[in-house]
Amino acid sequence: MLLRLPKIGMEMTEAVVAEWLAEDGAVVAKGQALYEMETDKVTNEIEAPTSGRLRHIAEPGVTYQVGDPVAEIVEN
Amino acid sequence: MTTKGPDDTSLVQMFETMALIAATDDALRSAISAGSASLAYYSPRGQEAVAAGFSAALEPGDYLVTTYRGLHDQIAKGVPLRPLLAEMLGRAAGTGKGKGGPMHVSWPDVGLMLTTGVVGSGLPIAAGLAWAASRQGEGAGEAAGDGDVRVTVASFGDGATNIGAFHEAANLAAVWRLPVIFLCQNNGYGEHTAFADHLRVEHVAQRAAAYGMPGVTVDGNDPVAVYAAVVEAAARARAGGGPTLVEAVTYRLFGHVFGDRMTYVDATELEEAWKREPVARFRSSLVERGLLSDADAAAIEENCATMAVATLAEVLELPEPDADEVLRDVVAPMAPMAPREPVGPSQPQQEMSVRSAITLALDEALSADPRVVLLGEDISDNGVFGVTKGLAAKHGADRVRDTPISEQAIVGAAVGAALGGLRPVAEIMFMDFLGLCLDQLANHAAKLRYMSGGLTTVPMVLRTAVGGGLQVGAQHSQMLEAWLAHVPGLKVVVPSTPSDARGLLASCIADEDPCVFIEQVLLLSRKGAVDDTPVPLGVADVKRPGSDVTIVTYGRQVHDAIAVAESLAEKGIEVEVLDLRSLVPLDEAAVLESVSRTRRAVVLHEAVVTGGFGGELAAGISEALFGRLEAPVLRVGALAAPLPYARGLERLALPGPDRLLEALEWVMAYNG
Repeated sequence: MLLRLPKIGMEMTEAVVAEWLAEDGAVVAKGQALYEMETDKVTNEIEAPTSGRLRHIAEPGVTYQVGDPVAEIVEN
Repeated sequence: MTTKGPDDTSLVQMFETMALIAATDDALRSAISAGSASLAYYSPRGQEAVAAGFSAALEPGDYLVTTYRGLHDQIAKGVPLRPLLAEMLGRAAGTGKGKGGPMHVSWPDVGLMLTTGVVGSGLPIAAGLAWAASRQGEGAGEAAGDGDVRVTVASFGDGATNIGAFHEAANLAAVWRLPVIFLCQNNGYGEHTAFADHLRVEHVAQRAAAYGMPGVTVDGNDPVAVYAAVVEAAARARAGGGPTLVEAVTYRLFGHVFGDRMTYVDATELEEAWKREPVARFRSSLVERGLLSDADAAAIEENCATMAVATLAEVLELPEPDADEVLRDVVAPMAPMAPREPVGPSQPQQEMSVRSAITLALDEALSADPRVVLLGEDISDNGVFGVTKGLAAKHGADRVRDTPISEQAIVGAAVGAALGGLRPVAEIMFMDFLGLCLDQLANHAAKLRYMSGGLTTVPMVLRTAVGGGLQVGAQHSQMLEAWLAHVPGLKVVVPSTPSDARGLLASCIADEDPCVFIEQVLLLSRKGAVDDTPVPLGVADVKRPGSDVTIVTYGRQVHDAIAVAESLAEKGIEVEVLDLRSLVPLDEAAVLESVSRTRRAVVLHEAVVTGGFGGELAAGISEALFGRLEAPVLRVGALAAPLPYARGLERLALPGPDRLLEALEWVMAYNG
């Protein structure tokens, strides 16, 4: 499953992927915190929408637009 | 009173409902996290038991009014998942064709009459639905079963119990003994503010005492407890015992809106709340009682998850609404325009006042259509201006119904009654009091047809008086029609003669959309000939023909305009007086036809010039006829001050004949 930068809050258009909370290549469980994203307004932890092996796409510290690919979870 | 508990089949069905709610919530949150769905999402996770319990206690035909955290209520009441999710994602296949969104789901097939995005606003509307249900004795038979009165459930949160709409609706429902259940889903927070920080009472249910209705607090994480309380409340309502406030104490497990990090919540409190999570708890209790095996329960949950995920995936592929939807469902399609020439009176003309003409129109509507009802303050006792004189005696105090002094409840009840099939005519004593009920008018009456994609409509009339010129001060005098004309979905009508008053009011009552009918008190005693020629909305009337300049006006200023026109005729200037009669819909063709002939226009109204409807008229004329105009379009109206009390100052502030004459002379003399 391709994970894109979610839109959280009415006015969000972009965010910085601040920090990965799960390693590249790690097996993650649905609901587990994957990464932290920061907007001008708030910092959010984004949870895994499904279980599987995580592949990072986004670089920490870089600003992404809503809808940009951030990661992939390869389901078993 | 003992309540029979739900049977085994119902218990399993409740679990299935809860499982489907939790699965749908999970699918939505996952899709938002993955960036495949984008919406402001208010998760009901943790409140499944309330929805499963109350819906199991209702008949299919019973009404539900819910709020933006409403997914659980909507699923439990039986809204199909596909149109529900399609609406949440703005797809054409949504309940409202994608035009309402997640906060505005209606599905009358299962009794879901309203989802509102405004905290507390659903409660007065629920009272109106209940009034309609009790009047029609319907829900009876085919819908509610056993010939019983249809019950209306208003679902809302603890935060809503601090807004005026809650108190006005609770009081009205109690005074009128309406078949309503006020179901408070107390989830511990009003947005980000904890219960203890926004209420001083221990339980919301205590507030019921203030309105003389029973109040009960139950465990909202136990569907059986909610079921029992709602069964009892529904029985009371159907038996004519009036409303009940049921408080179901539950918990909001994922905060206010998706992305809310719940930093204001104590970690231990949240941990404890998860231990009481209702779906797992109810599953265990059914397994313990031998009603389900673990495998059965797991299969139910898996089926629900599969259905939710598959439906969401399917919906994500569906198209958005077509571009031509943008202006559809604002109001009902216009009937073909009536011929401009009157068909001629079929009855002899009668001389009567505007007041009597309005009374006559109301009387005729009440006689002709059992769906027509009147509500307002003191209306059974003539009303403050005698307009409703004799109507209660003739048609019954249950159809010409006095209300508490509760403007929000009056207009909200009218909205609900209209949603429920009545043709309510509500009265707000003075137009200046619009601010007390503008949410019901502008956010609900005006928008429900559009937001539901035409599934629900609000054929109601709001009559209101304006006391300008009577020396009654700034809070009983102001013409505020521009506020209303600015809101798409509202029709705005201002009569100037007895005949127009009668005809226009009849058209408003017959109309499929909300109409505001403005009665200028200074006009009420004005007499004129009245016949039964229909006066459709959106058809202006030339009150005096002329060839040199057009005065575009409405309401009592029509008579000032005619008087000034007569005085100018003596000087050889022929002034045309065009009476708009309705501002929305606006007879643009008549305005442009007249001004393109006279090539000069003055716009006149009683309201303050700044931001007034005259600006709209002047701009419209200038845009369409710029090259043909001999002079700029002038606006004449009240000075930009609260209307003063003292006689001389009030006269100065209002637009009198002097300022109109001055404007006409300026326009006639204009020479580049």
